[in-house]
Amino acid sequence: MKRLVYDTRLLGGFLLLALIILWEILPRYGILYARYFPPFSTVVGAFWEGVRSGEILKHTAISISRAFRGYLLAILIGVTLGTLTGTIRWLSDLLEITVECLRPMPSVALVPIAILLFGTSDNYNISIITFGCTWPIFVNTYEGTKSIDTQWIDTARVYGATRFDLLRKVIVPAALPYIVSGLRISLGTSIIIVTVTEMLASFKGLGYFIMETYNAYQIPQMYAGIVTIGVVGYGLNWLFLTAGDRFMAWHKGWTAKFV
Amino acid sequence: MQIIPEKISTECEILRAERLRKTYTKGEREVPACENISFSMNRGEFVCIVGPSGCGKTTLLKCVCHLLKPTTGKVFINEKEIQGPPKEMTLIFQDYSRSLFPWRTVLKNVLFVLEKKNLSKEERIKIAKSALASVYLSGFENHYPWELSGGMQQRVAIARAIAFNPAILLMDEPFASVDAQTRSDLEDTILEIWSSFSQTILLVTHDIEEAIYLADRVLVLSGRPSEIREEIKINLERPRNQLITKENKRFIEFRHHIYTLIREESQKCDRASM
Repeated sequence: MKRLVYDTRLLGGFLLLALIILWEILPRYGILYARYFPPFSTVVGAFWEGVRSGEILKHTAISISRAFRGYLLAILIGVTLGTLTGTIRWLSDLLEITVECLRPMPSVALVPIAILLFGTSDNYNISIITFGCTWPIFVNTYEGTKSIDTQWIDTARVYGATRFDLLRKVIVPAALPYIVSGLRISLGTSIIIVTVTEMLASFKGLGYFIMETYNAYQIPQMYAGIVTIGVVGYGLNWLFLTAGDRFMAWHKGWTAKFV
Repeated sequence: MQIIPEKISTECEILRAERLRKTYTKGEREVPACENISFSMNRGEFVCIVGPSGCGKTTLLKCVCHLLKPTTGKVFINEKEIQGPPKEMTLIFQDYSRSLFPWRTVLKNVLFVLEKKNLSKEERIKIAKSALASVYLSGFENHYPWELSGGMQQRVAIARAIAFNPAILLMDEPFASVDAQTRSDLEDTILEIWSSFSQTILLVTHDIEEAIYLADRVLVLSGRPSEIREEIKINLERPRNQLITKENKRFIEFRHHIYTLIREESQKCDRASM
């Protein structure tokens, strides 16, 4: 079984490789229009040029920085609010209807408001990223704190835990698997939103770079920008999973018992 | 505070429950779980409560330690009325898998109960390790609870209670979720701990033999709403032995008597629910 999984994974690598080869061949033989779909090697060339001139790296750094600041703020708000509403009944009753009205709103619909408030400064991107990333973290944290086994709470109480102890030593650790899955969803969301907001109204960042090269008809450079975002998203997700695995080893082992 | 003179004379009394009553509201109706339960325990005594299943034994224990606030009635420890879960008392739950913290290792589960105490880190670890040793779990400190068997997990829960070192230990069917062999091992472990740490233990069980085997005194509950039907002193000599004690003629008489009582009570229950 293990052997098979390993082989399938290897095959998956080959699949990606095959797609890249197709990307190279189809434009070269005129099956795809090369001006709109330049071959892979041309895109890599444009990427390398962009890296050497510092152009792509500069925009990448700006996008990551914006996404990260918005994301951190979302964590702060989402986890705090989720824990509070999950543990204080009247607060969740109070906030429920407001939250349910705001939550389904597409964050990019708020772009005009954010521009009116912040102009095209970083705060414009950050505010929308924070808005979009807060909900998954908030909802997951809320569900996590709600679903805690009351016997854990009872146990802590018979050993003299105060309300604060319960929060710190029982509720948050027990809800952590839920919180982490919210964090993971939001990480992807933050990359999407930073790109879109930069495309709409920014003068820096990868989203801006893609639109700018598109408008200037620099098609290989445009593709280089798109690929860079893909790589950044993949890399961040990988980092997250690696860090998460070390953190959540107990949860993997524990849940494996019930599968 | 109100002082009841005649009670003070019983010097060795540690715990007293007075007219405990707990009702649940089910829609419009008030459903009583336990009714008018009074008992007291002396320091170092081992008392077992038995009763037909579903008679509100768990509710009673939770009221005794004030995890649940009794609807009426009071609990006193050393003549002081308690308001919330008191630090002189702890409770071991039936379902160990839901009371151990899966995100903490065995050692850290035990350390949890020492975190409120004013001790150095080294002292805490020393106490936790010796508590684990007393339930024969040395060497498993760095395992997670879910890596251990059911019996071992309940030992961790027991070690945690020992490390907390309460004057009074409450146990809610602590051996109901393990197999028969593990069960009698755990019973003997509890007796060992009881004799070496001189705690006062109140244990709830539906197993009549277990109650007689462990206790100095057995309280038999009636069916729902439960009241104390009878109190039986178990004058079997200690140390007790799984074979010899259980073959004793008086043991068998106790069992006969309590069995009859409980069967009457559960039949009464069945008739009431028909």
